[in-house]
Amino acid sequence: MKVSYNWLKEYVNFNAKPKDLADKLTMAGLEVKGIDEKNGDFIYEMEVTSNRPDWLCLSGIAREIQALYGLKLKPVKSSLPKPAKSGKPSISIEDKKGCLRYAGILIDGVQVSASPERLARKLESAGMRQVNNIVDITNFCMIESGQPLHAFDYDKLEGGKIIVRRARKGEGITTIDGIKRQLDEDILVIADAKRPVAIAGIMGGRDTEVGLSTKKVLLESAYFDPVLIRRGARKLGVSTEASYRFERNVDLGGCLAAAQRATSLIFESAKAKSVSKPCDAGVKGIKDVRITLRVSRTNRVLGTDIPASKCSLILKSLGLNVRAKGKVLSGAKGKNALMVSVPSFRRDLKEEVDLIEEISRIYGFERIPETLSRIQLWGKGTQKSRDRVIEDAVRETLTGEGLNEVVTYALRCKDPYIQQALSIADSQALKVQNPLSSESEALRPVMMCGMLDVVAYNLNRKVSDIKIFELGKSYFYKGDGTPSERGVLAIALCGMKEKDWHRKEAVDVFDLKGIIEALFSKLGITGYEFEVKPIPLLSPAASAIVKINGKEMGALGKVDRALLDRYDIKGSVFVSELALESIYSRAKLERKFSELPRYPSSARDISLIVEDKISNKDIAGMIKETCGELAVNVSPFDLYRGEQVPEGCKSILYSVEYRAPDRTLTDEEVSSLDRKVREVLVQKFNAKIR
Amino acid sequence: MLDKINALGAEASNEIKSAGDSKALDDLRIRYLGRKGLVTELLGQIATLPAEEKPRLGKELNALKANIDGALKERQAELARSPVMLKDFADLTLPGFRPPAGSRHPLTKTIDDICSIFLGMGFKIVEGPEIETEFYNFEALNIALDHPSRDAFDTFYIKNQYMLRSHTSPVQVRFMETEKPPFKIIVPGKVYRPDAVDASHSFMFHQIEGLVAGDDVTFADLKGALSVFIKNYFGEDAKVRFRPHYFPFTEPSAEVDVSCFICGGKGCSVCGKKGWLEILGCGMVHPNVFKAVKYNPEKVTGFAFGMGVERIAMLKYGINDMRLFFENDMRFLEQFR
Repeated sequence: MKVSYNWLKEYVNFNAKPKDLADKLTMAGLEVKGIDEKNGDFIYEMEVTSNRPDWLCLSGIAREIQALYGLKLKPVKSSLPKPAKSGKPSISIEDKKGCLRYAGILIDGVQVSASPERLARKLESAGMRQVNNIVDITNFCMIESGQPLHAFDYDKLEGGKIIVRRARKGEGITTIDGIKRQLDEDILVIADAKRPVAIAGIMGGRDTEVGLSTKKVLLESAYFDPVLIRRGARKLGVSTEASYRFERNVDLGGCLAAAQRATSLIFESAKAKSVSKPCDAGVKGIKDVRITLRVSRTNRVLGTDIPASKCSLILKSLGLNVRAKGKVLSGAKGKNALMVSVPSFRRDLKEEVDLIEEISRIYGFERIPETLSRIQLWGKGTQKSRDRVIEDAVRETLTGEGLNEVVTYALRCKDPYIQQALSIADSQALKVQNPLSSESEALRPVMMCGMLDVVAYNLNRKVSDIKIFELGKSYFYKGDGTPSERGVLAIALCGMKEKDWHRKEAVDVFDLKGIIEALFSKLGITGYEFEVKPIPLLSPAASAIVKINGKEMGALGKVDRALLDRYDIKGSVFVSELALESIYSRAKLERKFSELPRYPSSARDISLIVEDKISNKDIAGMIKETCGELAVNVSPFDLYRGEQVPEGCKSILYSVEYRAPDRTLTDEEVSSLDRKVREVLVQKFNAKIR
Repeated sequence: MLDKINALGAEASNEIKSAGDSKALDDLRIRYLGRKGLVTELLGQIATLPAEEKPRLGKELNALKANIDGALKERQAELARSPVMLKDFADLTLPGFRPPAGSRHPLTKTIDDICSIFLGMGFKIVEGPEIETEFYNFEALNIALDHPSRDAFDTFYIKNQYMLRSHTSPVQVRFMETEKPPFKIIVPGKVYRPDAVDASHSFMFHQIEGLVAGDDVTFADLKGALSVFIKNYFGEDAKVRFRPHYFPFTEPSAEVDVSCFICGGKGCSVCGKKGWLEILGCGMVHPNVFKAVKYNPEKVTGFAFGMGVERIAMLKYGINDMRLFFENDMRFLEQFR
């Protein structure tokens, strides 16, 4: 909102310089975002919070200045001409909830012309356009008092009537901006005997607007229901100076005064012949709101020691009426209670805490001390939650493995390909009803999408070695149809293993598996296994699910070529997604020492050729089964396919470490175990021992 | 003859000094001291010399031979000490083999840095769901339907009254529903608002929310706690100011500004010539919020605060475009190793 510094001076006599006043207002919650010096005036760009409609006008801001500097408001001089005996306008309110009050005054014999220079300049300072002397005065009064006014060309109102009602289905109106608008029952309108002539509180109609030929003006000053106006304005897709104010609440008690102020100005400026008595329809006898303020409570909330007299002074300076209400008030502890009555221009003040805020604002936040003593006593030694500690360990391990942490959008475009691969029906996709664009269409079903986005983005920028992880969420509908989310750790690798100049080797799925194993080891997770299995979106040639204690908790593998093509990624990408829930529940960060082996171990190597379908798990399992606890370590150390190895077979080398817990194994014992192992491997897997 | 000897000595000495490897030294040894070497040749000429000169020149020649031999040995030793000659010589001007080192994302790092200050003050970290309901996101927080205050909370809706939380405040409500005061909690997390993506907007961003409730928690405590945080995070010299503002869920409400650490409060492009940077919103918990979770607002008071992580990270690291956080360019991320 634009506010003129010079114009403000007409309502309160302050000495503060433009910059000082701006600072003072800002520190009272009426933020001055910028000051623009223009023709000897200073135009403030102000930001008015939505709870303070009373600040949407100069008199409201002047009231604030009065409170901040301890000044007195200047009375606004206006002399209302003696009204004519007859000719009161006919106004009826059909929607009494939609329109609480409607004051109308007829002004006869006006001469419509351009506004005088002085008025035009003022409107300009408030960022408003000039129209003609009548409309300009209504705008002037709105800026002054905050009450939006509307002027009708009375002679164009059918039947000379004003009816406030809901629009009927099929009705329409061309508004003053020339746009033809369709109306319905949700829209409150001002109608004459035949048709809507204005959209109440939002915009007037073109047919009845005041123009050069207008002789008789009907001035409207009303109070419309804020919710109705807000919904109507949204529905029609318009926001006007008037609707902005009605949405936020105007002063129900000030309607008539605003109409009278405008009438006197129009009478004078447009050389009118006569004015009617006002027709003031709607609620009568608007009462002040009464609130009891306990000074003790005020100080308890603020942590201050402000005396009752100071509280009272502050509230009075804001234009509220205050009475000390000593012993009479039994509910409020102590004598220091104030009975405050709030006039209609401050309907944002409804309860005690609203007054406490007013006191703190005017008293000055900077004068409230900074303390910690009491709250410091609680929560001493509060530890990080276990999940958080584990999360830290995950991040530490993975960055230690050279992975960069990423943060990707959980919302992205819907991908029918992924949905289909994961058998998610379109109705089960977590779509956003009001996306901004396709970019924010749906919540991702898997984290992989974000990972691939990052890979593609970097590849496009010629950054080709990408090792990343993210702690995020994926989203889904539960069986009962409620949307839900789960924590996921996602890892992706592509490009070269090392960035060093001397080593250049492409990453493969075992690098990914190794990272997961390193992570599990760091987190003390045991009882995990990798089960080879085709997985949607991953290549069947390299994919496995991850199980902990037999329970599936994630997967890893090489991303399917068809999916990579959708992201325009040429090379191979390896991804894994692991459920954070399982990581949290299975992690064991505490360590326990176990006795070092007392007796030395001996190792034997076995080189064998077996069919490809015989897995490491099969072979190593069989060796352990054969030797029992005596085989303490079974590790493959070379794998070869190709020349000298039959088609469909592999050559694989194992090193088996033998050790007994209670004695040193003799050479014969070890050799006999080794022989037994060889026999079993030949027997069970038809292995060829080399 | 003596001149020849001296000339030969000087020549040999120069050549030996400039020999670059042992092969060159070997060649020199042969050239001077070999069977057909220059010194050997001169020695052979001694016999033809007059008898009275023989002993003196013979002595000179033997000395020359010894000198050359010594010089050759010395040079040999010198060369042996030169690293380039060593089989295992390492040219340490080549780059090192770096162990892998990944980087934390600046956003999660910022969240951690902020949270650890509050952890140090006895706060507990609490998290909550991103998919929320009208009740937790708005109603329980005293945000009225069809009120202009909702304009600040544009929201993404999912079907059946579910929405993506537009702030982390719903977690306050969820926590209070099950816990009793006194407590101090801090809530980091992702939030969503339908804002088109540009240098300073994103439809997904991060917030950190704080809530303290108990008997007689005051606005003065709020100022105290946040000042401690700000001085810890932005430095002891940071000045703090609390400016009245409006939030539906707190009253009195404030926005907190910190003196611009780029220009030191003089005014620059980062702070918009104001000298102050707005970094968080806060206030005393509105009694209606306590009522919504069945606390007695006469007994319990509290304060809440919230801040945007992206904004703070941008200020802290001098990042000028919010999109960088979500593009995850490796060259960007690796700056935060």
